[in-house]
Amino acid sequence: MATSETHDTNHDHDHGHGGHGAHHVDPLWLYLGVFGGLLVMTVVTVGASYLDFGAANTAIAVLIASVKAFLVAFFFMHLRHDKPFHSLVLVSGLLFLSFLFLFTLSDNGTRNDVDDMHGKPVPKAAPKLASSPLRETNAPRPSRGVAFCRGLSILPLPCCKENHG
Amino acid sequence: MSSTTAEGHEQEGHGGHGHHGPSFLAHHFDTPEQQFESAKLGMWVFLVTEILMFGGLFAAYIFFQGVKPELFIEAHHHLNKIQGGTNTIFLLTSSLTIALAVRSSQLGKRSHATAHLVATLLFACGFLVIKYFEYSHKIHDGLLPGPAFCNPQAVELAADAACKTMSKDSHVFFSLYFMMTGLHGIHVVIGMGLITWVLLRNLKGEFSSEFYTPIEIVGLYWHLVDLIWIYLFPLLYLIT
Repeated sequence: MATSETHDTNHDHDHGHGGHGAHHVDPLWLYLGVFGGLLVMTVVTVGASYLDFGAANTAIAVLIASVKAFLVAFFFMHLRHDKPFHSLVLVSGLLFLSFLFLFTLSDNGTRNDVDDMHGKPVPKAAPKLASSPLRETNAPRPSRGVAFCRGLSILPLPCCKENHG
Repeated sequence: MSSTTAEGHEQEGHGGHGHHGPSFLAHHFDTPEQQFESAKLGMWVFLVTEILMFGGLFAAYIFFQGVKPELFIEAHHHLNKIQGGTNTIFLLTSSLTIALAVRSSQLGKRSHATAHLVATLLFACGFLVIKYFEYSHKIHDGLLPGPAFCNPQAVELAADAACKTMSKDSHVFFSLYFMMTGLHGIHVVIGMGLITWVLLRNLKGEFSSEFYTPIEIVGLYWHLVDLIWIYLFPLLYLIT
């Protein structure tokens, strides 16, 4: 609770409001300025989508979106004046979200590297499809998960071949 | 905690145990400040669960986009950048107006808060109207999720329906499109209900510069709806 006491004291001291219940009121120009920034970045992100930066296009779009999200959270959602604990709640949520994304991506990137029936690495000589992180292997695959695959006929997994024929 | 409580009572000149506070102060809180902070913390925890719920769909997007990037590029050409961009601007503007509604409440300007809340509702309606035209267009072209994609049993297909020239795997993109924008759309509708609720309470004069917690909390919810769309727009409409 030491943090909250310090914060309360600072709050009252810095802004000169008497007692509790008085909250910091941001000036109108700040809201309009942030809104202007959000509009400009929307135009920039649409414009950038017409240019070809190769693989960086998605990264640029997500980066711009993240700057916009930060502006909304920091100014419109008042994290600027809030107890740091509210920001910690948000950041911890985003941390676990990043775990979800990272493990999904690592699954995507390493699938079929190992023969899951024999636990041995798939020979490097196996042809790899450059366009897809999911690679077909020459080794015969078990029929495990066929039902799951039927719903995911997009995946070029050998067990899904009946859907591609 | 006890020292904070004591400090609060001292500053407000209360000698009792929270029974003499203003009418909006619930009996289980010591000070209005504590009540306000508790409400906000609870809302932030809820917003994080919302982010994680949408996160599952974003993870699915990342997975399938990694599997078939070319399919996503082909399919996204059937989304209208102008409509998506207009909706982005509508939501950003509604985020501004609800932030200004909170600000007006902080300053005790009740009629200004009412005007800002009504403006927020109007932009939200505009968003849904455009969404309606987008969805109608997709359905007309047979661009539907899963087994309904280009399926004459699901929807009557015109001879030149757009889906007929597309890869049969495109249903994956439209499954993600309808799930993500649909879940977001449900949030927009719920948000409009919440805004209407605080609007009515504001008209009844229940809020003041001392107590505007519901407007602040609904504002946080509405900003989250905006935040989700900030990511949905480039990921669905602006793929290259």
